Amino acid sequence: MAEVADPGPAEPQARHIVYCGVCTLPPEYCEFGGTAKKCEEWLKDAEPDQWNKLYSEDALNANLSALSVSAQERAAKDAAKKEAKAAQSEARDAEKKAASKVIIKRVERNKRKHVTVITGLEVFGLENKKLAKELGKKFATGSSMTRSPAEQRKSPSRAMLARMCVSG
Amino acid sequence: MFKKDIPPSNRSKVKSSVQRGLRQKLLDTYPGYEPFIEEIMPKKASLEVVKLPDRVTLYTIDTTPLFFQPMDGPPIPHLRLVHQYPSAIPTVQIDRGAIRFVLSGAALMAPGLTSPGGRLPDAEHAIEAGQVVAVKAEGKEEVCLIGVLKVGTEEIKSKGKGVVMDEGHYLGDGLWRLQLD
Repeated sequence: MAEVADPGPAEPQARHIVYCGVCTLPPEYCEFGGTAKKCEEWLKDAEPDQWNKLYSEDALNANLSALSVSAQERAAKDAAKKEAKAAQSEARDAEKKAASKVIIKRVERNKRKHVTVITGLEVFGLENKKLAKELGKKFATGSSMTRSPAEQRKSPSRAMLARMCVSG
Repeated sequence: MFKKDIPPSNRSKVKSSVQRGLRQKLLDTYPGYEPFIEEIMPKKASLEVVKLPDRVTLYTIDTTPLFFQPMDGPPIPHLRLVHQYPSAIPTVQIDRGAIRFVLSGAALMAPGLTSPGGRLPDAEHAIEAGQVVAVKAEGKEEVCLIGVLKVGTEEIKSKGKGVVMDEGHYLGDGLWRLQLD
């Protein structure tokens, strides 16, 4: 076979981009995300090269000189506010997590048949609908999600009902 | 457009004939994607459609979002796709001061583009109103916003005031954070 200048299988031309593991933005934009400190630490661990590029002294100075003083002040103020807000919401979340309980109940249905009711998982960032399916598979039972009457009006927080028939 | 988080919703497969049509439409709207189309949207891959609020549909392959399409507008590539192939779409640039407003979902205003940090294409490559542009930021490499221009670039230059892009898809908005799995 003649050697032709074959371009070969087209090289993938997509650029591979690293996104911040904390705020999911490209690292350049972390400073606007409200969790700048954490992002910086993450980047230092995960992508030292990028970190050098973005957070070295030179880079920081270049950024600062590009803005007028008053605009800088305003931006800094805004950033501080945003950061405080983010920290606050995080603290609130953590508190909520610490205070919340997952309740596992065994409810009798029909003499020797029982349903297991699990509530309170939604605080931990689990998606109930999917979890129900997973649990059903895991324990070889039917499993479904229902909203508890108290929470029926608030749609985002849901209670979960995993239904299992247990004999004996 | 996507200021709020988007609730997970159902996905459905797209008919292969419709998929072909979409592919053609995407190429017509963005000739820049021509060399990459096979990579972005292989003929074999099955395209899926996700319904988003405000009558917007999002097209995905597996868990990668490709582009979204408002009811009455052209398809607009998802920012992740823009990041992968940055050359395919005309870009403009905003100054540093405007970034924080853009990233909190404000409408794009003309001064951010006309000031020294901003950049607009010259008269020969002017972009008309109604076209989709990607917006870069001063001192950054990646695109931070994408959307439909409301005013042509030449008019922006002459006027230098007012809203340029009403709503777009920006880094960190609901669509960006949407988890597909």
